[in-house]
Amino acid sequence: MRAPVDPYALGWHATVVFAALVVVFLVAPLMILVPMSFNDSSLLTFPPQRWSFRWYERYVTDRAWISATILSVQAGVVVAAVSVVLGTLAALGLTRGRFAGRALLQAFVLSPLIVPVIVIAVGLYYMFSFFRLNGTFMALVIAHTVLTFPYATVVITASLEKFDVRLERVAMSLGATPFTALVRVTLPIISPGLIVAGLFTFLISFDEVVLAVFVTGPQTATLPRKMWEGIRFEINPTITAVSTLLILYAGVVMLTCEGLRRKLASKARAALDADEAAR
Amino acid sequence: MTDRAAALRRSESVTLRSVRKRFGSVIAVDDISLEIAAGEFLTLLGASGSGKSTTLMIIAGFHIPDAGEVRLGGVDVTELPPYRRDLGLVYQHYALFPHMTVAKNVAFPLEMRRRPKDEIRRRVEAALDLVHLGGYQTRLPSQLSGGQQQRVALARALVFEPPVLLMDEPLGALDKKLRETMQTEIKAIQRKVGITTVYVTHDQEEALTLSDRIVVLNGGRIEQEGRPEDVYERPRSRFVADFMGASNVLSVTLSEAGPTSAFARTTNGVRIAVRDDHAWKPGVAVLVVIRPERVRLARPGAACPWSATATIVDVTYVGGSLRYRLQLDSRETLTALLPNLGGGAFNQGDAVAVWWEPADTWLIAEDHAS
Repeated sequence: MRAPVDPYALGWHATVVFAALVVVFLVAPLMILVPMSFNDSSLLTFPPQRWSFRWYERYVTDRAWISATILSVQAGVVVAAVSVVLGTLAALGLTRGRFAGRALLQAFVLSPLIVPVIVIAVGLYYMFSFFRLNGTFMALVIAHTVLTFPYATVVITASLEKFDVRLERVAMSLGATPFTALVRVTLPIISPGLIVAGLFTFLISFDEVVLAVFVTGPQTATLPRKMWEGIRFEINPTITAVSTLLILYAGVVMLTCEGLRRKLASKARAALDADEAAR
Repeated sequence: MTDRAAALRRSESVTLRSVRKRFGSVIAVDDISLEIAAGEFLTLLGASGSGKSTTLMIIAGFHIPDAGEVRLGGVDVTELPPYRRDLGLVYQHYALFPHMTVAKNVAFPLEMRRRPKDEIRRRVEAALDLVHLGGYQTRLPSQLSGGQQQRVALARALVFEPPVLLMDEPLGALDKKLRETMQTEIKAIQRKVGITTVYVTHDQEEALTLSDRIVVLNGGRIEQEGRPEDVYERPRSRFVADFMGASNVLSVTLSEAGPTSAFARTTNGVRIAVRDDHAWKPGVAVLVVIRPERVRLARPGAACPWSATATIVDVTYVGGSLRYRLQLDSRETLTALLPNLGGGAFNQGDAVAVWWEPADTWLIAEDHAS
């Protein structure tokens, strides 16, 4: 006699198959890019016929690619620094402040998350034309900061909400001015949040293309803009090599964030254990 | 640490004058005036929402009162920010800086005052010795037990020798046994250092154990203030009588004045002895407070100075003592707490003679009943 089919097992198997399909769908483009970057052909073909590192070589020896990379790193670092500073200030105001219109201000601060990037790009383009800033490094930094500032604010607000305000009060009762309390107590404790905000905003700026296309010029082409032009105007396989490096980099950032999160969680658990032991 | 005399010179008085504070429509502190002498251990006792923590935070400088003034050692500090007040503060949840070692935590107030390095090291060591945590300098707060963390918090609040120490339910997070040990320790340290201490708690036993003086707060107002035995044995209102531990409060009418004691009758006419207090005249309705541990029980017919008949409704075994619930008449019940002497105990349903020393009772006017 045949065993009856377990409907739960069936559902489970269907779920696994479906999830696997989703993963394949998400990862397939990346899986195609990586082998293509090692292709010897000067056409974008798949699968590769002969293997070589020539596109990686082209990338590191081409002055235009390298200067675009350096520019993107510089812009990313400045954008991350400015975003973390502004995000910390905004998060402090929004979590601690008790003033009329706080919710409204919060919605305004977060609005770049909702407004289509192309709208922001057009707006910035006209504004920068007025100030004759288009094509400058400053325009790039300002444009990216508009985009990344709300992300930084969200991440830092989350860490500030978990922060125990009484620690600041105690610091002040012990003689610290509000500023000293912030620097010596609050910021070190929420530093994992600040680091995550920094990495995150750097990554957003580093791979942003829409704003870059609008507000940068030939002298200030960022890496994503260069890649976009590479595929738009010349179909150059170098971009597959660059893309592979970017995937690698994003993976490293994600692992770093996860590591920080785990470190925080284990610290919290150690504190809880100590409390348990005291009971 | 310096000797007590020097410490007393350093400790300062705290004065609150007609202090008020409201949050939105809630009046948290309603016209509180207090004089706390230098070196005194004063407890603000009340339920949550009584205004005790708000009062403490006003002294600490985290709330500026809407009206009234705060003085430290005679100086008006009402508007002075907390970091200029030089007060030690200990919170319920220790509030140690989790990213600093024990030594760094304790050194923090000294670093804020820019003391030289070797002085800081010496004083941190002395403060940790005071709370019996010498040798724990390099531990992180997360590596300490709750009791140890609270002692670090205490060391940190005392290390800069502030004139006043503020404690907000510092033992609230600890279990009963550890709490009792810490109470003894806090009291000993406070005596040794001689620091003026304002202590906030909702635990009446803790208040009775620790304080030189207790201020009972209710709804943002002072309900009663006095020495522990005043507040416990001579409550001014039914609220204080109830709050200071399970009490028997009976509504009675004074009936007769005797040579050494007076008598009163309950609503249903049961005659009981009460304190002979000449302020009260027969015919006046009053509340009688009698503590459960002062109620005595005897077999019916046994020789007692006076007695009323009651029935035992319920017996609870509390280890060191036995708690009896007694029905005095159809409306009034009484609780009696008798030492567990083993044998001769009464059982549920027994008829007993209940009595007490008239001097063990306390009378409250009916209009203080609420």
